[in-house]
Amino acid sequence: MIPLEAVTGRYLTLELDGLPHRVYFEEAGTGIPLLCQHTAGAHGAQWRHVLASAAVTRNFRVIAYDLPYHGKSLPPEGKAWWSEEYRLTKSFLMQVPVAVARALELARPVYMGSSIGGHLALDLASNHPDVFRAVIGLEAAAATPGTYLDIMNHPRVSNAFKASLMYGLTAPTAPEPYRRETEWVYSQGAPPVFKGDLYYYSIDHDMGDAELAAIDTSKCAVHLLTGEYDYTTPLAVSKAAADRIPGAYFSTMEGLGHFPMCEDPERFLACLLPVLEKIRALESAA
Amino acid sequence: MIAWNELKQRLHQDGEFRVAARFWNATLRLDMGEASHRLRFEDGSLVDVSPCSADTACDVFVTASEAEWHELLAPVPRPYYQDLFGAQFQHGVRLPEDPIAYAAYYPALRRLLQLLSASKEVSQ
Repeated sequence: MIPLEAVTGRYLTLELDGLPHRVYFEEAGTGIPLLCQHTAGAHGAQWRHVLASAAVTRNFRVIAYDLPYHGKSLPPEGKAWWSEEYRLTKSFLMQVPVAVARALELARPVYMGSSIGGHLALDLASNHPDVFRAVIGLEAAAATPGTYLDIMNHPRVSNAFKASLMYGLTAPTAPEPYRRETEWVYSQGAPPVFKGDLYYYSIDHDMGDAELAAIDTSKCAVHLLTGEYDYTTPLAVSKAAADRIPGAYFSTMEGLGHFPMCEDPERFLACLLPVLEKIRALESAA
Repeated sequence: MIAWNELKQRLHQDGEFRVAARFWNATLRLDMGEASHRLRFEDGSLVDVSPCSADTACDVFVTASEAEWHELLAPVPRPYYQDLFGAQFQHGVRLPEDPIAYAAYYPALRRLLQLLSASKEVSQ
């Protein structure tokens, strides 16, 4: 018997900022669509354990895409991207899951993301509640200033530095092979991408109290889950964002850091599954 | 607090450290509360450890109170002490202001810290 996994990978072309972008995604499962966004400077392989979880895929169609410039999604052919500094903006980032949902004709998907993906959960709940029935923000906050640093793309510093920093953002209790895998994924990023992504993480994503308070969780449910070892999005900062959104749900993920889905999948799934059940119960009630 | 000879041996035998520290020629100063030590590396090998003052010239330093070193070297550190950068970001640990000074050898520093922790355990 050929040892093929149930996960499949395909490409689709999305119109983003007026240009065609060829985007890679992997998927598994059936049921409610669940779009998964990776962290800054990484790619969709971070979601491999969620894609492989029968407890998730029996009720959810999990779709994990690589942002353009990340993983197998190469830069677009229609612009001289090499002649400018790579920078991820809120406007561009918000377009991606919305375009994926439209291209795949997904009916009111759930969105989940970590780090930049966690921040994006809040921006999507605020700007696109008509597209998503719920968002799950991992390591999300209203703003995280101070990390758009030149050292993250410096000619005298290799990707090994950034990767090593990311190991330090995982929990010391996480299984060592998965901490190392998380680090490895970071070492694969093109040199300018991590810093460029931090432009969104640290500068362009900046939600005020009024915007958070205006999120309508009856249209788009908001769930924030944050790891206790994440020093870039400390628990108090993440919880403060949740507290400002009427009806938002917040949970501390003990023994997890900035990369819950890939640093300690078993512990993460124990936190995630009750949230997915709540979302499923909403659909049943509707 | 640290069994320095034990550390030297561990660094020499540790595959991960040897890979991370290749071509490293530098002086590292560790300020542990009132006690400072100078560690001299040649081509990735620790060739000398000696007590020094807190203003001794060096290429890289890690400065923290004795209590914070205790946190950094705990078998399971408390949140944000699991990493030097994080401990600098959220706690009182100090590294050189310009990260260029240590970025290339951050993976070596990280491994050094883990082996310091192991050396501390052995010495107790």
